[in-house]
Amino acid sequence: MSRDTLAEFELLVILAALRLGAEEAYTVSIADVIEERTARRVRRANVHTTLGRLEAKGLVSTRLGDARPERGGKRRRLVEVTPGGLEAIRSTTGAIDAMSDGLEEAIGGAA
Amino acid sequence: MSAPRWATGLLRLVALPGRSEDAIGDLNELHARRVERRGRLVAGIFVAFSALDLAGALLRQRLRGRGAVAPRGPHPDVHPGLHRGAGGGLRRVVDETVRDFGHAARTLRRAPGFATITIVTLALAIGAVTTIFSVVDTVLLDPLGYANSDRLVVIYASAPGSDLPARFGPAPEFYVQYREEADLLEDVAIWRDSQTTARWQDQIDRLFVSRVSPSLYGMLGATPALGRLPTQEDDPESVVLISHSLWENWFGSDPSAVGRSMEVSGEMRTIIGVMGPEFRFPYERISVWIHNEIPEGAELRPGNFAGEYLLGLMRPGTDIAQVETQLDLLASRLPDRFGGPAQYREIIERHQAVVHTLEEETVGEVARPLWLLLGTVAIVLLIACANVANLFSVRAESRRRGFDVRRALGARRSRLIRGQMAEAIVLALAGGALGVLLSWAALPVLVRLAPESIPNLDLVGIDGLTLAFTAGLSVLAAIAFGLVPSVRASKQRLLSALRQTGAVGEYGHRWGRDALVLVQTAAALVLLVGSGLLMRSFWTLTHVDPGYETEDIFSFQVAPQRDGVNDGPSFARFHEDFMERVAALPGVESVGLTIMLPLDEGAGTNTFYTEAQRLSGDRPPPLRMTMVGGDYFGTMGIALRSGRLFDGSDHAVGSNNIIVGEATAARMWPGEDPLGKRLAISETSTDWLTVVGVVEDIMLDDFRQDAPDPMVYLPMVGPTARSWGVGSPAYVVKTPRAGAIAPDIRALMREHVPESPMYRVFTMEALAQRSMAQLSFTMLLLAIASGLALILGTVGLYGVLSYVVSTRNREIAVRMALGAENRRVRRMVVLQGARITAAGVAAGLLAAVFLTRVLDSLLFGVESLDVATFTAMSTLMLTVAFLASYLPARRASSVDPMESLRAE
Repeated sequence: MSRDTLAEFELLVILAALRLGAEEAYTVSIADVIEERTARRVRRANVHTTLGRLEAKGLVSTRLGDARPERGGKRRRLVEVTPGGLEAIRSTTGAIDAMSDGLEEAIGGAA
Repeated sequence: MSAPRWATGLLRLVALPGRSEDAIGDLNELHARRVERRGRLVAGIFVAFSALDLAGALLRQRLRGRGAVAPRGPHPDVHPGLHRGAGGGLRRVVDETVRDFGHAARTLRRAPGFATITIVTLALAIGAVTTIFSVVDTVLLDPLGYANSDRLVVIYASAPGSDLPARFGPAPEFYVQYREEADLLEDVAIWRDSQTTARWQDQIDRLFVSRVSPSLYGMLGATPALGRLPTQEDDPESVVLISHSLWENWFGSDPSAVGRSMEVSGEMRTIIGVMGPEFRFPYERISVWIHNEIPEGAELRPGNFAGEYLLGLMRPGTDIAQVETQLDLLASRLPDRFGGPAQYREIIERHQAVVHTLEEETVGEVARPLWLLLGTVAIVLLIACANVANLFSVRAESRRRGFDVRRALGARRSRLIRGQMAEAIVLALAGGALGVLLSWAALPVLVRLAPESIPNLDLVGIDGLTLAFTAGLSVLAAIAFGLVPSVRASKQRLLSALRQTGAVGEYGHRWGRDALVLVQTAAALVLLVGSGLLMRSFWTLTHVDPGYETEDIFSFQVAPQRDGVNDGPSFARFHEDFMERVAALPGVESVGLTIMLPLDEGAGTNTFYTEAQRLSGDRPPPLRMTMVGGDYFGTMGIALRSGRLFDGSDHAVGSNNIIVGEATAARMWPGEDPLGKRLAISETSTDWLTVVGVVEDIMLDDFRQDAPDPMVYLPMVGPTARSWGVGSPAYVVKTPRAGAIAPDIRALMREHVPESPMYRVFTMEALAQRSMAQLSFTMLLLAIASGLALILGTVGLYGVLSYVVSTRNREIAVRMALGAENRRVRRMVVLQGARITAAGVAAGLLAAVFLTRVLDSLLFGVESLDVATFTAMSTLMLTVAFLASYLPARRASSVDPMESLRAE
């Protein structure tokens, strides 16, 4: 269980990959989605490193897509969330929910 | 659009095999996106940072194996062997390096004053170097940007001993001959530049146009950004290529411009293509290219030297001397092939081909000042490094006890040095980054100030190469200012040293710092002397009397294009009438006309003969000839020396009267009264021109001329109606509103000449400034650099003396306790400063004697070894140094001996 709990940025990256789907998720688009939805600056290098880590843990798998002119003819490394990744998302968000349960008032904000 | 090659290369280098492609693709995509949103410059900076960031990530992945997380490192002194994990030596080095830098950054954050001073000092100097480098990079290193830049040559003709100019454009038959016969040239193209009126819808302007043979595009490897190039099938009179800037300004970058018709030189022509922004042959002002081919077997009248030029593409491995020899031989056969009069044969006998590389032609005259400026800012960087080295060694000194303790506890010396060098590199890179920002802000200002003669200035910007250069430079600077102090401070001292207070600096260290200040003083003085010499030149140049006024004179041209205004008399009527209207404008004192304006187009050159010369058959040296009308002399302030000026009868009905300059009179009729003397306009002409007036000499081209030009002035309506030649002379208008009268004249034109634009609009003052732009630009930048050098040098001296005073506090206190007077203590400190400065000034003077020679070509009216400038600048340096020493001296003398000794 503890092995597959995700750090915060890992969680953001894997959720973004899931949102984009296996045909559209790659470093640049993942960073874009996180920037859009969380309004915070994201370094592409961090996304790159994090994806490498998630892949090493077997939580995502990657493959090369087709070559694109806007990328100078280079291919994208497309990211797909594995069943293990989905399990990790569930256990992480579950842990957060479990810990924040009943604290809505203390935390405040738009609950 | 792809990211710069250095960035993709870096990623390829550091990535695991098979993992670089997507990373490079990411970078390309981000770069393209930034270029679109923010422009090339911002994209360049962004990509540089992103590439480094991404390379770091890839490198970590590679070294740790994918997926591992970097452990937080322990303190860098702890022996790395204690917790060496799995992995090779390289990995350990990277670990340690990363830790060193992290530690350095944290340490520097705790010394904000030191870090700020160091970074700002470095940023000023590195920014200056970056700025000039980016100009040099664009203008000098790859000025042409054509595929075969190194093999392209411009071919001129010369005929020493003839009355033709020292070098001139070869006539069309040269082109035919060279193109067919010169096997050392892969291809030859011919071109001619001119100005012409062009119109499209309500746009109208005088544009620079180049008539080029179609072979030119292939030789330059140029392709249009839109549309196509002309082919043999095109009718040369009906198609036109336009420049990128004309496409933007007139057509709003509308792709449908291709295929439309515009009027060029009175002909409607179809736009068949738009050239890219980088295509600017032969220079950047050209807006329109018309095609100009000499058809095979065309009948040529040889000897028509009409300002055409030839471009050649040399075969690989050929040198210029070989090409010149071959062209000489080919040209000598021209009369046999094309015939021509005796005079033509005479020219060909004297003919020598003159071949220059296109690059030399494009940047030749600006190269020297730019290299000079790069050298200057390099000296500023040297001074800055010396300053920082001083600060660094002071800081290292103060941390020595800490180092000693760490070494005693087992830290290796190399680690201490590496830790210090990491600080130096962090500081230098921060300085470099700030310097790039400064440079980014300064470049647009610089480009605006720079003389027009510097080609491609609009392309100057901070690109990948400049960033890489700056990064490399920063690291070099770090080594320059950091290495010696780091090595010194890490030297292990005897344990007894630990017990000492460490308050007295070792003599060796002080000596090193004195040497640095000496170098700084010397370098600053060299720059001061250089800029002093340029300032004196500039002052002298602005006080030259060119023979005419440059203040309060406005000039413009107007070209009427209407039925019935097409020959000499009708042009004369039109311009006499328009001159009157301009003269009636409020604030206008007088109006005149000329076919060529001094400082702009100069004047024509022609050989005139006196009666005696015609009889003897001597060929006299050529004179400069121009035509004037209206009150030209009064308006320009050219004084009458004897005789009279042209009057109405000379202009209105035509006469054979001329006016000459004093230099002409002295040359043609030495010792005689020139009034009433006669000149013929050629060897055979029967029209004799009579001198009715002599006017003051003038300088036509710029104010640096050794001697004034020998002038001959013809009246604008001269002996024949043809004398008007062009229908659009330059107007000169004397008015105190020279800078503000343009709108009034434009309004007048809308009313009376609506079909023509006002063009070639100048004030004489602006033309005078333009003629000095090269000098004033170099002077300004050198003055800024030397000012910076002076400040940095002074700060350096101040820093060293302050430090010396602080380390000698105890000694000073003892002296004062024993009865030394304040005055003596002050003198002791000031003298120490003076000794160092005097040595620096001596060294600087010596260096300046050799180095100011490089300024020779820019100087005017002052020798490169001008004693006054050398003395004045040395005095300035000594005075400033004295002030810098005085402050620490005062502090020393205000030491309270008891308090100081108690503190010990």
